[in-house]
Amino acid sequence: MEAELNQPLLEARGLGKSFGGTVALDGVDFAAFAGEVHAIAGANGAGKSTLMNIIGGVFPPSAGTLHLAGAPALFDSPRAARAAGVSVVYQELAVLPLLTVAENVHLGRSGGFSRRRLVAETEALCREWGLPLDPRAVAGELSIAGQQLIEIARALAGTTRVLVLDEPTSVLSLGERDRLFAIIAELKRRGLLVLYVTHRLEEIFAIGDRVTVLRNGRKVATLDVSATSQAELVRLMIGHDVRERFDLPPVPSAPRRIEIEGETPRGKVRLTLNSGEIVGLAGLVGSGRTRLARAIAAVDREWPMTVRIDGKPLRLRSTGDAIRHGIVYLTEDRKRDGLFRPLSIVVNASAASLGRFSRWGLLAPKPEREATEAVLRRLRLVARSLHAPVSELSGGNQQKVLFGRALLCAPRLLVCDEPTRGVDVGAKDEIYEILMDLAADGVAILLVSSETKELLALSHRLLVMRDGRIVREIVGRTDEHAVLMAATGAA
Amino acid sequence: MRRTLSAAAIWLVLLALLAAAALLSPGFLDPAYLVNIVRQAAPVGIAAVGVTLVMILGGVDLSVGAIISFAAVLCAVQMEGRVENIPFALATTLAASVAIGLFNGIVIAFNRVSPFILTLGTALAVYGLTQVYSGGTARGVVAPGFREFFNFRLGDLVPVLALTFVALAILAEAALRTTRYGRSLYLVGSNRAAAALAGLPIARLTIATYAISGLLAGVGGIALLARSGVSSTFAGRGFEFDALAAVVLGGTTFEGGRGNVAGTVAGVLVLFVAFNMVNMLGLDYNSQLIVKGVIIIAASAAYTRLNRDPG
Repeated sequence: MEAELNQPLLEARGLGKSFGGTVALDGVDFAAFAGEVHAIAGANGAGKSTLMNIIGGVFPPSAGTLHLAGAPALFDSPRAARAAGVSVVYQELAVLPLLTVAENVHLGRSGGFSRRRLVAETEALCREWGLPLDPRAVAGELSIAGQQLIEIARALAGTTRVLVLDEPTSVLSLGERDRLFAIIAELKRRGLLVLYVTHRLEEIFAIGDRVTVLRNGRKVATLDVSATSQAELVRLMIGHDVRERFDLPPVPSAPRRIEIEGETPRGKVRLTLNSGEIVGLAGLVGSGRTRLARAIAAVDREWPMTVRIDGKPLRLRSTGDAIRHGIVYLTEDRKRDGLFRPLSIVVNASAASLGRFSRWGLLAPKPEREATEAVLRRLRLVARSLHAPVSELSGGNQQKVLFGRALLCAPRLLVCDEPTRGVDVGAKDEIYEILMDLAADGVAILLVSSETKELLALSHRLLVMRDGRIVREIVGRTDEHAVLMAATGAA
Repeated sequence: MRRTLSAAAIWLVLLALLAAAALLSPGFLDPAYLVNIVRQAAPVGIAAVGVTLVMILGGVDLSVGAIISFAAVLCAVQMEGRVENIPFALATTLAASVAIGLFNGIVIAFNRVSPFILTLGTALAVYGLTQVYSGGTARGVVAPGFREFFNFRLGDLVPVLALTFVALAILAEAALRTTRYGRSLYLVGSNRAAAALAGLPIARLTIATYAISGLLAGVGGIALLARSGVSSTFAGRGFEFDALAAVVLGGTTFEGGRGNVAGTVAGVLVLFVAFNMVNMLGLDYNSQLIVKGVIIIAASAAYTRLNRDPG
């Protein structure tokens, strides 16, 4: 079969998909060629998974067509897609843990093969493609990276021409990632089309030839990777430039003053925030940013702090006391001390304000659900149900649930520790909007971040920490260089 | 889907066991026989309700067997066979049981000691205390009317003892679902550090929950005394494991943050239906132990499969 030189191997024409009333994919056209690594980029909810599921035969499109080597391709099942040469390796791996590698690789092929023949064929396959797999090993005993290789081998055992990889590096270490990239390069050299679905921009630049960007279910652009930049991709993914400086709401003219004074091993710390003000806290790792943040909210008490609101000192002996006085800490580590993973979104959101939703020890489920729903709608949380476990959500949406928890406490001072860590660019932008919205409502915000750009864009005022002390206050315009100088002690 | 499946699993097991028992002997499904199983299960079952709360909080309580024994002996000795002593005997027994639970709770709340080791130590100490207190022999005489009250059959069918067990279980399940206390147990159990950040009073919750577990074990001891009528000093020995097995069978896990009392009740019933079947088959006590062990292993293996967190 001699394909025309310029004929795309895989082509989508006006592909659309709606679920109930929501449009997940809307008129997407794109073409990808044999021998290329074609990245599919987009923020969460952009339609990446929907596109991938149509290509992999999980469900049919509601509009448009898919063509494989010029011929219309309508897969009614993943099996049909595989038979036509399209294999998908999902983030959630589908490996049978009790079977051997060889048995897993040849899974689903009609029987009649001896164990020895399976092992021999798998061995040959792995040698051919350079996959470091032992056919006799039990799949469940391999690392996640090894199990991923099993799925790749399974795809290669057939007559695969298109291999779709879904966020393949999210579970890999750096070394494993490099090995995967080497394998992808080999697949490409042998003329496969690799569709690489990701929201990690640096990986697109590491292995991609071209990239198609989706936003809100539509295709925004297909670009040569060599002719674009991370900044341009981000702009395409979120629909506007990453702002260098936000139009911060003005601090009210007669603000409430929050004064914080404390003792660290290196001396006294003193800072003041006004209601409606966003104060950035910069500093290198180990400068004591997080320790100060946690001390202010009485989470840790090794650095004793006194907090005064409008001159009135507060007695904060526990995190509960701090929350009751409206001083709320948002953790930098969602997994460690933020989320209650098995519990529902509602339960997660209301966890710090149960007093508000109970009377004589009895919970009032209706006010709880309504208040939670209102707050999470304001934060534009995307979830199939508020009663679903919080562990189902993406990083950005999990962070919104934690914001919701903080908002339900009616905060006067919100201490945000790395609020955009581990969320994609789209969600990051939404979190910035949330912070400014809160400031406009009169909440004082202490923003701790290791991204100086973020601090510069979002703070009315910057404090720089070094060695457990606040060494500089910067009001007005400044740049990354000046902040770094202060943080390292060079200036 | 998986969640519903694992919640329903223990009830399916119970139904299957009952069906098997009915095949062995049609008399098994007679309502009088069935409520009798519930009556028989009451001492372990009541204690298991308390252990469920502790395990949802992320702890474990191995001292309930010892508290059952201690409570049974203490109550019998205080009664001295006289009706007018009953209120005082019940009050002191429950107070002593709560005190043991409070001790567990306070030590666990303010130290980094593992609940497993601590409550195991408490169990040994309380067994010893029971021996010393009773002089090592069955002492104390049950007052007239005491057993009659607990074994009285309402409507000629349901013994007060069985009713007590069911009522306490319903109360605990309602507390888990509808109270701030119940919600807090799930929060602390599923992520202690996050619960601390959310301002939950972890120490207070821990102390209260172990105290409740002690209290319920005390009630279990009184129930045991009412069921058997004699106070042997080792009456409750091994009950901690029956209770623990029932809780785990019912879907409450050692990691905390998951589970409920309804499952525990089903777990208790599975154990006791199985014992009764073994009895019916005429097997001896040692074979019963083997059956018990096999059931526990099979069920917990099934649960780890069902409850694996995909995230």
